[in-house]
Amino acid sequence: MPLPRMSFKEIKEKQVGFGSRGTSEMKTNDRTGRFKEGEVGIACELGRPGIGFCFRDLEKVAMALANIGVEFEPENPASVLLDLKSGKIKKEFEEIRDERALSAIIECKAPIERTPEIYTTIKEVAKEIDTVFSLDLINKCSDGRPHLKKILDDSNIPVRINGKTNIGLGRPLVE
Amino acid sequence: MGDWVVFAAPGTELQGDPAKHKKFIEILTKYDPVNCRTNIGIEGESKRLRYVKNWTEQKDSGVHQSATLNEIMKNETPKGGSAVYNNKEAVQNVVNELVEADLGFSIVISGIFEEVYDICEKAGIMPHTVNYSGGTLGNVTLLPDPKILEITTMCGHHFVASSLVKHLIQKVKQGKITAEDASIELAKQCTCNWFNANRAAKLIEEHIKK
Repeated sequence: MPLPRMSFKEIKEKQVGFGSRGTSEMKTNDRTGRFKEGEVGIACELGRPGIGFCFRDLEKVAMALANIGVEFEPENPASVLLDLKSGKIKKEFEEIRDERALSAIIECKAPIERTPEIYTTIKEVAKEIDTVFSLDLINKCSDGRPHLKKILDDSNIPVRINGKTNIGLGRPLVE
Repeated sequence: MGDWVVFAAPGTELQGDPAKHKKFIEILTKYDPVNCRTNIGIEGESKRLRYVKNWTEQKDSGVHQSATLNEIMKNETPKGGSAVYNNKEAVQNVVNELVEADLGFSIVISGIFEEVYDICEKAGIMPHTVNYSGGTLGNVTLLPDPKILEITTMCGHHFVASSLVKHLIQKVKQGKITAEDASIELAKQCTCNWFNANRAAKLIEEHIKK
């Protein structure tokens, strides 16, 4: 088996990409303002739960999302590997296409009214990959409730009754 | 049984006044969590202190070392952390105190949305941002049995292998270990310390009865 091209120590020292698998996305949204009212945040957690994935599959999902014009999160580690206009793996990283990893997250956002269209695209590309992914749909609340819920209900997009809620105690607060 | 995770979001947990972190841990440990975790030490060399109810020192193995709630509470240099509760009342009390303490950390609760909204309302605050799960898509035939998945997914990073769950269920069936011991072994794998061993033991027992 060939040795990894770079150790974790080297990655840290050379500051390649960003730490962790993704950003803190909505978890610090009360302090960062990453997701604003009227936007939907989307995260496709490739390989989760527990299956792993091949970067070729990550590219397929990223290309499908790029094709409909979502805005990719630039500080996400997977974004470092991708041409953010086309979703394709950059030329200098092409050799990783057939490598496997436990998980990686594609993070992006779009205007909230595009949620049904984005969901349809994700469902379609999901048929073309040989792994699974967990789908996250993020929304900043307005008057204490997420407007996204009505759009999801009206479009028959199923979501779990449980999930993460940032309760807005971060300071300084981004309204 | 309820399953609630309360945590200070990464990114904020290494900043701020040490007294605020002490206060945060004091609040988390006060309401009988089934799990609790904090980080100690300097950045890059931090260590996690991990409490899981019923995980005693005798059950430690390799890198998996348990801590008591008291050890976590008494530590002088805690940085951020999380706790898991099995009832709404405890979470309400924690949130009430966090609002009053005004620590400035980004606090996230994982639980049933309507219940979390209710907790926020009673504490006089409004939820800021939510993260819905749109489920698992793709080639779902690769996934293990849903009953096994119900246990493994309590570790969000999926450090709990389905093969280990199956192996331990088998040992419980054979009477070699208890469901509680099996659940502690599973909880050890989840180093974020969010795996609810209490709930896992019940799920294992239910699985065996069927």
